[in-house]
Amino acid sequence: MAGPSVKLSVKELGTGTISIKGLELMLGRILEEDWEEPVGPTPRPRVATLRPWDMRLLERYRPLYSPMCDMCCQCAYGKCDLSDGKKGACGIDLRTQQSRRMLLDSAIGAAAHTTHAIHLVEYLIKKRGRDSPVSLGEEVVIEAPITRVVVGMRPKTLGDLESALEYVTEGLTELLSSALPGQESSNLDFESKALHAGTLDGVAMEIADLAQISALGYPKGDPDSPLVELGMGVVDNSKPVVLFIGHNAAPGVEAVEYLEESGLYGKVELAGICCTSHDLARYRQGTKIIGPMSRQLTFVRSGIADVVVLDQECVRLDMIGEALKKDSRVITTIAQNCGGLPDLTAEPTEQIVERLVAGKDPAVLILDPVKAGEVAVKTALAIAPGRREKQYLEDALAKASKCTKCGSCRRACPHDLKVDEAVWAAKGNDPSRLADLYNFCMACGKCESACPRDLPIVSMVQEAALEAIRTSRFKVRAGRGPILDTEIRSVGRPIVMGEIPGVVAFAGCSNFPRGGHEVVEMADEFARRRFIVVASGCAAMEIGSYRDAEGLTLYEKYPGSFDAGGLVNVGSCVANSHIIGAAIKIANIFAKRNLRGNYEEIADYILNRVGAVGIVWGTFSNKAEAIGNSAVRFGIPVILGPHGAKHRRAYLGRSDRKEDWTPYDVRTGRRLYVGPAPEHLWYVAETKEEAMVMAAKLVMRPSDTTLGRQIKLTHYLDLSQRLHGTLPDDLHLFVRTETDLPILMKEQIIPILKQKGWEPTEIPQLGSTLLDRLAAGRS
Amino acid sequence: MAAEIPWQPSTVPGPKQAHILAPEMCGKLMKTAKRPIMIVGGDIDRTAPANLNIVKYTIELADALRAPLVVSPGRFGVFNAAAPGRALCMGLEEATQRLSDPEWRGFDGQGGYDLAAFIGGVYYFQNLMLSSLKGFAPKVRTLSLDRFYHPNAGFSFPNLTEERWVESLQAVAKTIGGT
Repeated sequence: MAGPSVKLSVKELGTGTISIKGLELMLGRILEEDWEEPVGPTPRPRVATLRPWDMRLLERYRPLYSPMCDMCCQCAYGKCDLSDGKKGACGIDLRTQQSRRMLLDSAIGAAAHTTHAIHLVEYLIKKRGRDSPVSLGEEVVIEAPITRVVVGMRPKTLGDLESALEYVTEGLTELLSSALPGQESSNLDFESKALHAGTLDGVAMEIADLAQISALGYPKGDPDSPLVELGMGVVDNSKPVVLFIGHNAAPGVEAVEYLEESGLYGKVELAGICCTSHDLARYRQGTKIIGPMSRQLTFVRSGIADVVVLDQECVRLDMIGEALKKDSRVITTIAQNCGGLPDLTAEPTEQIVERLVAGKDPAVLILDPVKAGEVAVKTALAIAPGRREKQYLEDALAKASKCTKCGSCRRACPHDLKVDEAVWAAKGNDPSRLADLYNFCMACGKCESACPRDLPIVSMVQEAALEAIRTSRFKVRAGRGPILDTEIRSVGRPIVMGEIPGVVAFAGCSNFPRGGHEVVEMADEFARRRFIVVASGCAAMEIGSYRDAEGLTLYEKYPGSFDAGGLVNVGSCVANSHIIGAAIKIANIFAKRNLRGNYEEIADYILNRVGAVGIVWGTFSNKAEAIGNSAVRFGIPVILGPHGAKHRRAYLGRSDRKEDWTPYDVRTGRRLYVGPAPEHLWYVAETKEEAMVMAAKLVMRPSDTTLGRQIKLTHYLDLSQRLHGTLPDDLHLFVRTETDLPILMKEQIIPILKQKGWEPTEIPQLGSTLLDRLAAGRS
Repeated sequence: MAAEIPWQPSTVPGPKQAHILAPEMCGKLMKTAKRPIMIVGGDIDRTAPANLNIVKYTIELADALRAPLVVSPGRFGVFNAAAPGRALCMGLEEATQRLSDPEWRGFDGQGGYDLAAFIGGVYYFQNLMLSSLKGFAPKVRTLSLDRFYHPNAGFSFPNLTEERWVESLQAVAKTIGGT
């Protein structure tokens, strides 16, 4: 986007009638004069700017749609039945409708992160000033890799971040307009737009985390960030308790500051659920992480929280009512979630506290984080003594006697857990099966809604597992934020050459199909195999929620460095940007690729050379879709758990179509068969065994050296043998020359290669590319 | 419209839902298919009762049909141990993608398949793979042999008790002339 670029600064101006100090006017887009890097071809890409790149990806990775519903309900022409090839009244078909849904979901997710970033930046500018520097410390020169690549800017102050967010907001509006019936008609173009929403999401996430790390003093890439308390049993309820749920740390930060200023820090428990708790733990030691979003209902029903502060994203919509049932007080703090509550933002603090304490208004809206933090603390201090005299856990298990074993609970359970059998056993005085459900249940409460006898099944599980819940105390390393440039210098080469077998990133929500322990097993396996393991969000919490035989959590077992065998918790959802950012920084620091407005080249580099893969095992929200789209457009494949099929779309390559795997040889400009690497970009696995072997496969890249490919093949073949009981049927597709073969497995593999009619293929010496302009003789 | 409510009621897709077939009719449908394929999901042993050797049953059924047997990677090892070399290891998404491609020539290069019989997938996941085939593979008939009604299949058992399911599977095999 071209436009006027005028910046007018007036330090001091005085005339006879006016006096101006510190005036700064900015018109249009500012291009940095002191950035030596040339502007690439696509700064601030509009909706269709990166379409050619998307079409290259979609030619190889074709969308597979899995409709949740055959109907389209978007407009008043409908409902329209799109089954059997039927078109809707607007002319849409099922395939296009699925892709439109993906665009909408991705845009919703991106909008949520963007709003989050806008709130944070506004809050922090108010707190620290527009000129407050953006900095991730001396060891992170590339402070905003996604923003550099996409927006083409290097933010230096909090004020600069607003410009990037304006770009994102404009882009989201353009994208949403495309979803109006009567606009976009191609499923592939909807896919391109969904990917663009992911790109905007990446910028928004990065801006949000950059702002809060810079202005709030979170760890700046510290591999030894502190181990903090995690678990349902970490809260000391002899003290007043304030619980924060959501993603925006501002009210919690203000609560910390109020307590510190009052000399009361440590006298009130500040705990959180979901990403807010990650960020509070990054801000101050002593705040506590109760757990992922799936713990909301259970914890609030315990009645331990005196005050529940709700902010944005992933907050259960029944939290206000559930908290009030337990006589807790509720404060909502964000315009996106007003909750139908009276807006007391303009009232004096003491008056709000009085109304909350008296129960006159037990739930209020305060759209000012400073005031919300102070009110929360004062209210908790006032009501805690009286609340401690009461018992909030109901005698839920006794209600099992009403069960008729109709099975409605099981059929409503998203995971198909055998809830009916567990409740029935409890009716027969055996609550152990309900207790067993605790680690598999995400406490969504659908079983309760479905029960014709109104049994409080989540509370029954909670009561049955009470001892396990009370003793649930673990450790998670506080989110460290960015990957250091020095770490990239150290691992960039071995990652690109394949000597470090890959980066496996566990991201996303806690909708785990068979319990959270599966994500722990996977992370443990890859860390043990000396992949670089990265985690964020609810997945990062879950990874800390189990102990091994020696009593250690994975965060105590593995170092927090971005290196082979490390386990890195980057932080909250918005910290996912650092995972993508690390891949971008490899392209820049190791391979010297320019970043500024140079999206296609960077994405092409990552796709062809950087062996990174994401695993979103407990995917749930539209934000996960946006994050996934952000990653895959940058060339990082993602694997989702089986619930991921409900996002309705995958991007699958076809290993049996040789013609799909012939990028250009950078050195010669010729098309060269490189094998199906990476084979898929968006893949839903049914079981963890499938996901693990797939992850080991998807880290292979055409540019792997023979040593690197040997190492990657070793893991792929070994995991396949262990988890699938056999060598993979497609192993010959990943062997380019005999030197690729793991030495100890050669004798076993060579007969298989012969049987498959395998012949050696050329290895692109300078790498491969999908971009003709980067191939010799084709620019 | 089917008279049955899906096992997970929220998976109801719209007016077009699976026809409920009696076991004998399922058997006939499979037997008369020219190019059947069996697809086994990752929940196969979780859904089967102790008195049914579901792995043995499925292999024998595929043998009787002379059908390729695709097994979800997470459970492939069990099948490969029971009948080495008999099954193909492939994720359900990949199998669905190939079945949806009218130009795909099948695992043997002899042509696509006209009937895909599913069994043992994670319910909500298999349901969506069947939905994909329903929407985008009009030439492939789909059948669910699961204990639970799958609305997105072309044909399905109704929701059954474990006992009735085992009886139904036995009746299918008897019709085909297998196990």
